[in-house]
Amino acid sequence: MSANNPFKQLAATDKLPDKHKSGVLNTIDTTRFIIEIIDLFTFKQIQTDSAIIKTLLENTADK
Amino acid sequence: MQNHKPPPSVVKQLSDKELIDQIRNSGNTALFSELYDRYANKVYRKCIAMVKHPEDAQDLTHEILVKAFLNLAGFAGNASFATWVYAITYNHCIDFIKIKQRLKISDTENERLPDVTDDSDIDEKELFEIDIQLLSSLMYQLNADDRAILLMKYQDDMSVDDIQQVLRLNSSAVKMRLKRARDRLKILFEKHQQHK
Repeated sequence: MSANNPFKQLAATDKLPDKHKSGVLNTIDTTRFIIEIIDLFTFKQIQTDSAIIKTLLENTADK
Repeated sequence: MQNHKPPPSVVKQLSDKELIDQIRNSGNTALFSELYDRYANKVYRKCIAMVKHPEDAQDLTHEILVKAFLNLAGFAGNASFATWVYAITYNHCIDFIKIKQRLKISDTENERLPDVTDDSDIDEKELFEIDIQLLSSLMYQLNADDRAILLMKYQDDMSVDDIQQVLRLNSSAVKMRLKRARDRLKILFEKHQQHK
């Protein structure tokens, strides 16, 4: 491929503003937090409820 | 979740793959910052080359990086991380442009197409002689698919195999699209020369 490839120079010097980075990292943190909350009240909630019911049933059976 | 950031000097020396492995294994979100520093401006420049307007390009870069960082589990490591991020970038930009322009997408090109003879060297020679400012302006006159495939081929040096994976096309369709994109750019260039 040619050394004088002008495609390589398209938008070669454009830079993002500094505040862009904090915006992206904040969105990631917020999204991960929401995912964890959803996980806590769905999958983990079911796991916890199952464990409680299982323990209650075992205790009842022992008596 | 652990968020203890290793010393910057250590983080800077990690390869992309090592960095991603650490994020995946430890959930250390502080390491996203390093990944951002490595790729944000590269993704932004591709977005500008695709959509022209800096504000749109900034928003798209934001969405692409969030999408990529939150889906690191989907990065199989077969290709480089750069190729993976650029694949997301091009597809996201193409979708954005098509939604904006409400163009109907034709998938007929992905059907069986005759093999295209590779006369790319001759075409490339002519394209590489176009002045950078003019090339930039001509590229924005092409449609999103043509623009993306030319950037993949001539800016990112992606092989036909890589482009196939990004655009989910077969090899003949990629070669055909590349040829058509080169031809359309050449026609625009010739028109410009005639009006000069």
